Amino acid sequence: MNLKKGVFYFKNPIFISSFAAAAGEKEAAGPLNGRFDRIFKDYNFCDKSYEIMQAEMQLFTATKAVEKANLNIEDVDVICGGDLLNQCVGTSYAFKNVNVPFLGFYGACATMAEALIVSCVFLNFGHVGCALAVSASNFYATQRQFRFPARYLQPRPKTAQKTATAAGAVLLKRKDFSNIVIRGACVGKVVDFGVKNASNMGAIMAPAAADSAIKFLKGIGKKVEDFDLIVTGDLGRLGAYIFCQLMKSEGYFLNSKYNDCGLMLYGKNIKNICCGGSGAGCSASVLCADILYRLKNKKLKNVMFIGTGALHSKATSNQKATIPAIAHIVWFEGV
Amino acid sequence: MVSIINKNDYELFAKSCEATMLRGRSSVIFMFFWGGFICMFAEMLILIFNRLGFGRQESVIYLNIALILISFTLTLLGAFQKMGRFAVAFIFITPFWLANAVLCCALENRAEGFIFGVCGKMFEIVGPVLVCEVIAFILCGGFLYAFSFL
Repeated sequence: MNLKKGVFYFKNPIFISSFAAAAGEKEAAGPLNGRFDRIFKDYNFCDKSYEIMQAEMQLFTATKAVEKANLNIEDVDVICGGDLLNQCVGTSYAFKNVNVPFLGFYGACATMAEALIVSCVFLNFGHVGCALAVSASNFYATQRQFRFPARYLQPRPKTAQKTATAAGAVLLKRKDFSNIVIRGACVGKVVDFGVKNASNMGAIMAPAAADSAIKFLKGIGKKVEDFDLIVTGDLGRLGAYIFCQLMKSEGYFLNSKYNDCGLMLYGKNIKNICCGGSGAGCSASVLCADILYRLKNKKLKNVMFIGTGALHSKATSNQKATIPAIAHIVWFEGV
Repeated sequence: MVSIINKNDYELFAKSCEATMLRGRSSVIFMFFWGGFICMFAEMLILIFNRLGFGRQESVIYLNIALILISFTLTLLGAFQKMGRFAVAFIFITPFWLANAVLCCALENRAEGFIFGVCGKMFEIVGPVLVCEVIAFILCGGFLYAFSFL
């Protein structure tokens, strides 16, 4: 049901049947250690390429999520997914040998939220019975594509964030016995506040996140107090602070209910990697390795998951163009 | 739309947030230490080469080769990923930076083949610097040549 432009409330909630997460060595050394289904070793010189490595990780999470629901990957009706690489090659290569309809999209770091929303819409209208939402990112491949190669000695600004080598997959069904459902969603709009610095992702994405959050809360008529956890995708330390300040200026006090996936993934190691984690795989893996687990164990009831993405490329950054951002919201509920 | 913050004021607001949020310890002392260390290390190498019986000019050539080899090794081991925060002064040592910039580009793109990957992308970072250097050399040479007639 469409409440307001871009805000959806699903009368018949969409069930989350199963989920799986994978991460690289550095990400697995964080506070979520032991929650990942598999830890992928960091790239070494014997591996073929970063892209292939990411595709393997993505296929693994997809297969694992489907296995957990006692299904075969061929039983899935549609796969919605994406990653940060050009032309979504990581995801396309992951599912090239899988005989399932596939939709690939690019929403920068908000890809997981976007994939979940599209899957929900398919399921809500009854076009498919079960859908798979996947997302992944690889540090080396992303670093090379958007900035400089990872091994290049360069001064890192304090605001810089580290792209996480991680992946997550969620299997959604129209009817299931699961206790986690998706109640609502919000499709964000592109927001540009004139920041040009590509290493200051937090400041770029915070206004988009605040904009979508306010629109969503007004649209569904809920308050911040109604949610147990409000989590943003990858704003980092600085972005999280700006987001809280922006929400505060509009009269929404987040207090201790708020957290950020980029901070949750690295925990105390955060000082070694500047501002926090980022990337399409960051929010996806934290969602699948932590938030959904807590919802399943009934430690959380209502969760607002805000996927945030900065929509830029190396060309636009070099042209000194301002960087727009987007934020999509998915509302999880434990029943 | 977030109404309190004006789009024009946002950059200032973000900077003030940055100042309050990311104060932390400055790494200037570390940078100073590492910058000084690499210079001392280079001077030490020159002295060693001198002791081995090479002249000052020969020693400098061997020093450059040694620095390039060290930079290659550190790049291969991925040490610069960790050193990037404090050992930034290393980039002022030209052979050190040059070796790192060339090798990292060649390494990361080697999956794309020898011609288009390694050879094609090798000078991705160094290329613009080389072009500017050559132009500067030509201009300086031209000036010197012109002044020689005065």
